[in-house]
Amino acid sequence: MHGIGTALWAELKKAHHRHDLWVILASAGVIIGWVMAVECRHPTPEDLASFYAGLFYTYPLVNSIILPVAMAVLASRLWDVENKCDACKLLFTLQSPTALYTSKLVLGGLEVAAIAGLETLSVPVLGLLCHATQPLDGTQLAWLFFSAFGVSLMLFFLEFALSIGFANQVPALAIGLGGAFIGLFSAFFPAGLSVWLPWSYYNQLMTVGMDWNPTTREIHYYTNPYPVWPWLVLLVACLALGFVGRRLVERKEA
Amino acid sequence: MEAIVTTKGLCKAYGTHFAVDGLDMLVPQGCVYGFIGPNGAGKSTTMKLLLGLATPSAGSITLMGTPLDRKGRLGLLRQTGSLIESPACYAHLSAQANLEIVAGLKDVPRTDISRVLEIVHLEKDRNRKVGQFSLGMKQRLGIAQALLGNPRLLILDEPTNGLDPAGIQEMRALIAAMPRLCGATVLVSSHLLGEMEQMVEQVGIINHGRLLFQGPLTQLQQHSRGNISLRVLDAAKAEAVLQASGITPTHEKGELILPPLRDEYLAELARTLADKGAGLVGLRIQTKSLEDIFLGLTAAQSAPAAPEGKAV
Repeated sequence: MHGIGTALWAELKKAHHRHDLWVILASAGVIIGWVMAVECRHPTPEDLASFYAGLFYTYPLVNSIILPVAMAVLASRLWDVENKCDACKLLFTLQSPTALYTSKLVLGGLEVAAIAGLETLSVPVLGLLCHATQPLDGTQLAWLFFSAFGVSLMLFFLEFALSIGFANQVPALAIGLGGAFIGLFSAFFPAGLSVWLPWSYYNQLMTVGMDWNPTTREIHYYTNPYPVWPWLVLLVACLALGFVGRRLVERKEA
Repeated sequence: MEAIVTTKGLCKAYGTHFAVDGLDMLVPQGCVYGFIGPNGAGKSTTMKLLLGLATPSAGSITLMGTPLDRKGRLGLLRQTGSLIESPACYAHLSAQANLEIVAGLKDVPRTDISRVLEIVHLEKDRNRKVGQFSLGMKQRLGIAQALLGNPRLLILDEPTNGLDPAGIQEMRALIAAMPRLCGATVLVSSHLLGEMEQMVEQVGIINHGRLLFQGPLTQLQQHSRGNISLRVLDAAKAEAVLQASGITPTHEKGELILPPLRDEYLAELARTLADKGAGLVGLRIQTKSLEDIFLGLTAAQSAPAAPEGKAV
């Protein structure tokens, strides 16, 4: 035993009554509600003809505001449950620090995937509800899921390492809040700066752009090529943050 | 008797400060071993070292005849139960759920949960959230977690901390009964000697990370011989005799107080006092409380004045 399976089972047991599901539903609900408020109110035939492009443009923007905070909350709750009852001194006699850390990452990853999944699922549902006339592009839909999941996972790794590093959860939550602001305004930052800001990657992975004509007040959506390099950055960041987090847990002498 | 815990030259340094300094500990199997020392003496650090929760700076640990190393640590600890400082219970979960988590991680059948709840008298509260428990109940739940899987060794760090008098009494009785109830050897720490006297058979006294005494409680109690008080009719004559013998007495409530002396020497002195006309009418050996012995041992740590025999 003491494999990841048992450790993950223990994590699911601890999550009972911790209301993680409500955090997931609330995060996805706020994002979807926000996008609905922007895209689904009295759409014109022209809007419906570019309905999905509008969603693929708006979702990453809203993600960059909501998801950094959601990731901070999820990561903090996941580790704080051990902090609150000083559980490491017991757990480390029953399982290895690596098993504890990995199982929490897997559970956190599943929670992140659930939020990204709900968001992705909402795209065709909103299209049906609003009678979108634009055909749904499956590749764009998959891209939305993977980019929301990938960037959020990196932010989760970051927040999780912060939660382990600081017994007080305020730094992790403060960085999550700060990240939301940075993410929102990162579209206006120079590319050389944005590349160093983890919260900017929701925008960097966007493949739908927008032109707004102030005279005619018309919006024109266009598509960009699928970028590859941000995925490499995400991969390296996840590996590095995962390594740092694991070392922090291993070095925690209870 | 076979040893269940052995340490040799165990050290733990934090920077230049040694929390544990060359500890040679030996806990015989099947007993309740009291690990006593003032706050900050190194008790908790030693227990964390025994559980692999801290890495020794030097020395070795053997548990149940097997050296404790990084590789085999979890396998060995599967045969131990521990409660370090305060119980690690999730307040948002019930007692049952808390025990299920520990049972799952220990690979112990869920049926064992009822047994340990019965031992700590928490059967009726098994479905209550731990957040609603009193400190005493949480402490008992911590013991129940430690007891899951019938461990051969229980390591309990100050388990009576923060309990009310009734809770303390209950916890002491529970710990004293562990070898009989579960067949487990118990290593229990406390800074309260009086408390230990009521539940342990073997004692280790630690201060500044060093073991000052180790052995049966009865042996420690043998060191309880204290000062000798003399009641005499003529104090001046008695003092002259004592000073001639190289003893300077002090005065206390009309009696002369002498330091501890060997029985043979004391008998000789009594005869001399009688012969010289001091009028010896009373001789009483004051008995030191265990508390006094402990204070004596810890205070004398800097000077080489540990009790003869098993002092280390």
